[in-house]
Amino acid sequence: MMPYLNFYKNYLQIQMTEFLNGLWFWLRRIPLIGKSISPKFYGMRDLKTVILVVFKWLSLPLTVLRKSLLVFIAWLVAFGVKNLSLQKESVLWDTFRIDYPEIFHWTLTIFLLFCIFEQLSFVKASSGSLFRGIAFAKMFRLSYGDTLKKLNRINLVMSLLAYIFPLGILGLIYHQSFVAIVLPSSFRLLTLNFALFLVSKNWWVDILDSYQKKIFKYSYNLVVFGGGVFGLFYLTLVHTLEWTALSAWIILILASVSFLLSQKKKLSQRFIQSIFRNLAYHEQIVTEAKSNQSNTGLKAAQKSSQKIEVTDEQELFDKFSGIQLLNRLLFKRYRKIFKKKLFYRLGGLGLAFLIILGVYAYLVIRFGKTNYLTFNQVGNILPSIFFIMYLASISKEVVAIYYTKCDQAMLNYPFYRTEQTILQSFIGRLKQSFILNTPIVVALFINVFLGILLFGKAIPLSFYGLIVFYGVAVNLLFSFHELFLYYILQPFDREGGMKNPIFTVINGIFYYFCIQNYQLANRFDETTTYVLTISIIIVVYVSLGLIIVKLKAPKRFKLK
Amino acid sequence: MQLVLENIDKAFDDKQLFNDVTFKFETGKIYGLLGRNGSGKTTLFNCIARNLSVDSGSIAIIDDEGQKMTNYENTEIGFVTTTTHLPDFMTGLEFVRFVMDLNRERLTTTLSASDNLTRYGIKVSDQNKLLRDYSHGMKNKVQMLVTEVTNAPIYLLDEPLTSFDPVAAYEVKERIRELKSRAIVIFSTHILELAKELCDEIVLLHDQKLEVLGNDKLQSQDFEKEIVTILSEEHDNDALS
Repeated sequence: MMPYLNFYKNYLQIQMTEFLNGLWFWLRRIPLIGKSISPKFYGMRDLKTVILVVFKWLSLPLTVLRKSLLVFIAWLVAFGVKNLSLQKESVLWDTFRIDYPEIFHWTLTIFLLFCIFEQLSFVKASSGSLFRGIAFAKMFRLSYGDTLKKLNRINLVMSLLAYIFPLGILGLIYHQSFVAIVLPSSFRLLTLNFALFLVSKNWWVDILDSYQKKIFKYSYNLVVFGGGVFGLFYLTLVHTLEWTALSAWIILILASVSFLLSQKKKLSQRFIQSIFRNLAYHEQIVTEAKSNQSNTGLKAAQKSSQKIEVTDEQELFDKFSGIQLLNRLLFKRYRKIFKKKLFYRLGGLGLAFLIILGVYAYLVIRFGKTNYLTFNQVGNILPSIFFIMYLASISKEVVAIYYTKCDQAMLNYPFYRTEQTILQSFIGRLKQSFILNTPIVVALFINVFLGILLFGKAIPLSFYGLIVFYGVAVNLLFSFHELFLYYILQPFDREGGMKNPIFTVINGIFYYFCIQNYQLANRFDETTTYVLTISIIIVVYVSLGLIIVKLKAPKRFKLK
Repeated sequence: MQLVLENIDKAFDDKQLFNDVTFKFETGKIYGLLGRNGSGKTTLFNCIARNLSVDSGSIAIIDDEGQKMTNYENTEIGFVTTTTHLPDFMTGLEFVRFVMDLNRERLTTTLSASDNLTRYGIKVSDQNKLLRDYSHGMKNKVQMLVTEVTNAPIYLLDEPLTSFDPVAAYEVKERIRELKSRAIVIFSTHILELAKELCDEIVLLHDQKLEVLGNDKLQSQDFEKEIVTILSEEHDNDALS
């Protein structure tokens, strides 16, 4: 008992220490007030222990509430199913009652199924708590098997204690307190002991290995989940199951015996290696998901080391020199990534093209009418181009490639940070981004023109010129914006991570602007006025941005 | 105590790292594991530490009574990796203290966490700083310290001295020499002078096998030349195939 308590005390202290230190670290980074926060807190061990005790007590009601909610959901399902099954022709809410004994039995059944599913992720070597346990054991030089066993048992006990309150209430309502508390608690212990028995056997790892194959994965899931749902249905609706004090005693005895038997069971080495394998897979997925969410294009950039194209550069060497040569070489060598990105985006726009044609063909055949769009309705379509460009623009990937494949190394050299080099580089890269985004903008506007030609026959041809102007302005904005922020804020750290909160905030505002552009367009009576206004705003933004780049970038474009 | 490797095979995709490797390491010696980049030194350590499984063969610890343990715990291995694995948001003192608290039954030291850190050259003023703010060398010291104080019968040290300052390097070398009286120490390095100075036996990992370099060669003037010649042969064979 004492080793378990000591272990748990240390475990809690470690978690709380990391949390508090992390919190303090970020507080110290808040502009203006951060510098006045003393780092002495890191050394205040006793204070952290006091905070841990207070925090634990405060979080207790919250934990009980969370568990109560789960019991309530199970009860609600049972309550709903029972009452609805009694309704004849229509649902009469005022006839619903809570005192049917079946509701109690069914609630417990659902809860017991939860317990089985909970242990499934453990025996499959893929639960989050297993991953955290392994990382903890590795860091603190502890036995993997022993640590995982301890953590699982401790978590079970803590969870059982938190469940006592809601299960006790359930028992009081249905006058079955003993069954309501003892049966689920014993059953949970029994399932954990059974899980510990399984993971101590090598044959179980053989089953797990076969689980990696897709066909088996689907079969197992079908058997387990299908079986679970069928079991629940059968036990509750077909067979009128009742949980009695006798069944509670039987499960309690089984749980106690299995507890004694599982005392000496050790997690098999192969099972621990399975956790490591699943952990590696999980980390890969999490990393990929994070890089997808961050939307910085870093993922593509980091993956791109294997995709350098060997090109004949002699022509470039003859034509260019200095920073121009460097940028063009970079651009040429990584064009495969850009091509792939462009391919997918253009593919999407091609699909939109076909859909427009399809809709047109359908409307012509079905109704014979083709003139659907008015001048103002076309004006309403134009703002959505902003949002589409926000998603489709290739500038994020371009900037990430510039950083990870060039600037991250080159910014270490003073000659690369001179004003002239930075400005030359900026202009060169702006041109390249513009060229790269052009096919996307062209494809997008081909769709717009196609839509107008097919559905808006009354629209004058002079309007097309205005749209072309709008297209050029939009392309300029999306090619300029990412690059401008990159040169002014340089948001990446040395490892390629995003470190600048201002960059995130500005990008958030920009995103909001792209979404809200539709609202902005509605404020203009004339589409022409909207198009002209927005285009002029873009030109002014880019012009001001260029001046800011000239003044600020030489000082701000550096490694963080 | 002995660490016995029997008929070990290990491959990653097409690359065969060990082919029918059989070897015996014993307490009382510091083994220097030498091999070219990519020859599988770290993989061998990971297999011994049970972080990786071998394709075939067995790895066992034979205790002083001659009992064979094939199912030993990973914690019976003290493994110092080249890259550190430490909690960023914990101070050096907190981390060492927690490691000592959690491993109370298997500590080799009676000193306090703070004294141990001082012994490794980490000043008291730095002990209450977050580990994320430690230099690479300081992190390595902390990692070496926590491995050393948690008693293990086998220590695997993967290039442990690369980022130590001269004083700390000297101290750590002394610690490693102390370890060999009670544990098997296997030490991987690319610095031949260090291997010659510290190791009692040199084991070469080449041609997918482990091979002992004769003791006479370890003491000879041409030690460096000898190693380079043997390892280059392997490279030439690779190039030919």
